[in-house]
Amino acid sequence: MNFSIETSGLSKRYGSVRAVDGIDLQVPEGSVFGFLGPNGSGKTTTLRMLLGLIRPNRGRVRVNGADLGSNRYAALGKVGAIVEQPALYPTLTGRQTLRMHATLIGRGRGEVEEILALVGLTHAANRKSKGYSLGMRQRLAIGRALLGKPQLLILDEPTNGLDPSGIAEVRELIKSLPERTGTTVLLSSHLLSEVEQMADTCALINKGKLLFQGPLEELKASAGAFLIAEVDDPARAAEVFTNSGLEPNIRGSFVEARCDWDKKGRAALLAALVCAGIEVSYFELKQPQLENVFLELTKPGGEG
Amino acid sequence: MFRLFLAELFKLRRSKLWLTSLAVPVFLFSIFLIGLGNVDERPAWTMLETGASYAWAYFLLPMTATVITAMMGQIEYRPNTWSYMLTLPQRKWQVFLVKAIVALVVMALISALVVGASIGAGKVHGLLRPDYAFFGMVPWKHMGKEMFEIWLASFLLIAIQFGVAMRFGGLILPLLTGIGGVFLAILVGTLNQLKFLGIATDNYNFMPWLLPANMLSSEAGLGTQTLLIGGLGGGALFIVIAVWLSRKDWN
Repeated sequence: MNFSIETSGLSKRYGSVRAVDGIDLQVPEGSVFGFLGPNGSGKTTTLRMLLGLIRPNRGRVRVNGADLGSNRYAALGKVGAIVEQPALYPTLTGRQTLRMHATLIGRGRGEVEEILALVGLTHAANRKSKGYSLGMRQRLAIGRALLGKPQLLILDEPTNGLDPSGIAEVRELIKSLPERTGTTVLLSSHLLSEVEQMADTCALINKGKLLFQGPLEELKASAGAFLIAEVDDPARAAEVFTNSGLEPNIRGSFVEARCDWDKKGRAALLAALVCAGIEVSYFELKQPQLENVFLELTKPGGEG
Repeated sequence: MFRLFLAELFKLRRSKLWLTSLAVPVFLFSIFLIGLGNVDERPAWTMLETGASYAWAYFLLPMTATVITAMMGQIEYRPNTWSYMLTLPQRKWQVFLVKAIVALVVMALISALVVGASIGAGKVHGLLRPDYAFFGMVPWKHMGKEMFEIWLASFLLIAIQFGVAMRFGGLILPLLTGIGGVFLAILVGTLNQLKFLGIATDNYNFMPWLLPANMLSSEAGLGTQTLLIGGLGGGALFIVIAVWLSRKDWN
């Protein structure tokens, strides 16, 4: 498998604080890769190191096959990026913003109109960006990042501050990029729902350390499903759960336990509950929610 | 690097920097024209030239350099566009070096405008009050040469202002540096006039904010020394600053 980004032992320290601690990141080519982590987990520091804004204390970064430290031009030549916020010159119009960028990366102006149409800003192209809404600014910044047909797009919290329709627009745009332009997208977010809807692969970072890296489905599966039963006698039902080898939790009239049993095993447990004279009004195997996995991995004292 | 120049011009064309650049020439033109309204005999062009050169070298040039470099820094700091400029596939030191060269070019243009505005004020005065018009040759060439030398000597102070403005996000530090430097320069310059009291301040003649004014001195060798320190030293400092900024972490 080819990787658009590969890091090895990437570390950044501020005084005694390890902001990023030995990260080995691999972003597969042609993927939408979610870079997940709570606020302050080291996402933005990592992205800044991937883009050469911050020098790592240790480790190496390869972008599009080139070493960032020794061959910055080749590494960043085909990369579009937005770090933290859409950084636009407020006195330039949308069209001027893209034209200036086209000049800087040595592209023709023809592509500018194409990009304006792609991000839906043709109608506002002659307005100064300081008059744009946040959503329009974000779209313009994404458009600018897309100019020059980059092989890799790095987006830091791309839907931050957008209204629901803006989020939906940006989401659709990002999702469509690998297919439409062959671009690999690395997007960071602290919102799981965002990543879940756009990415196929992800990495999870907390306190500067990489906790997981791989397909989203694998991340979900790592948590296992939950068996939930609503009963008239939770204490006795919990006993039955325990006797069956599960570790139950009681929440009101519900008893739940992590469970990766097949149908037969679950049917046997249900039968055991009924045989014990417990009235079962609800019984379900709940598939894992990414939210739970995330919380589990990043909770204080957890793996992070 | 040429692309970076084009981008800088693109940004500056749409900024208020050009309006600011006109402020000093317009100010000098107005002051001279108002002042010349009171003359009761035909003045010499050298009077106008001396007045303009001293005002420019001692006070207006350092203050203009302060404001221009601070504005150039704010063009990137306010919208947080460093994260954009410095992730372009360009060498980072080139981004800063291009900005430095643009700052020097803007200062050169303002110097030329100061010459034009000063002589222009004299010319307009001659039209308004022909009986009191300036006499002698219009000192275009001499004043142009003098302003060019002042500009070269100011590289060191422009480099310092540039470094502070590019390194720090706020306006306070660049402005304080500029105002503090000008204040010290005027103080040292004033003390130099009081040498007869035994206050020796020659050692401070080479403080960066005094270098442009040194070019107006008739003291033998001072001009050459100043050009070496101000011009060459300033050029070297610009390169050091560009490399230093390019190695800095941009958080």
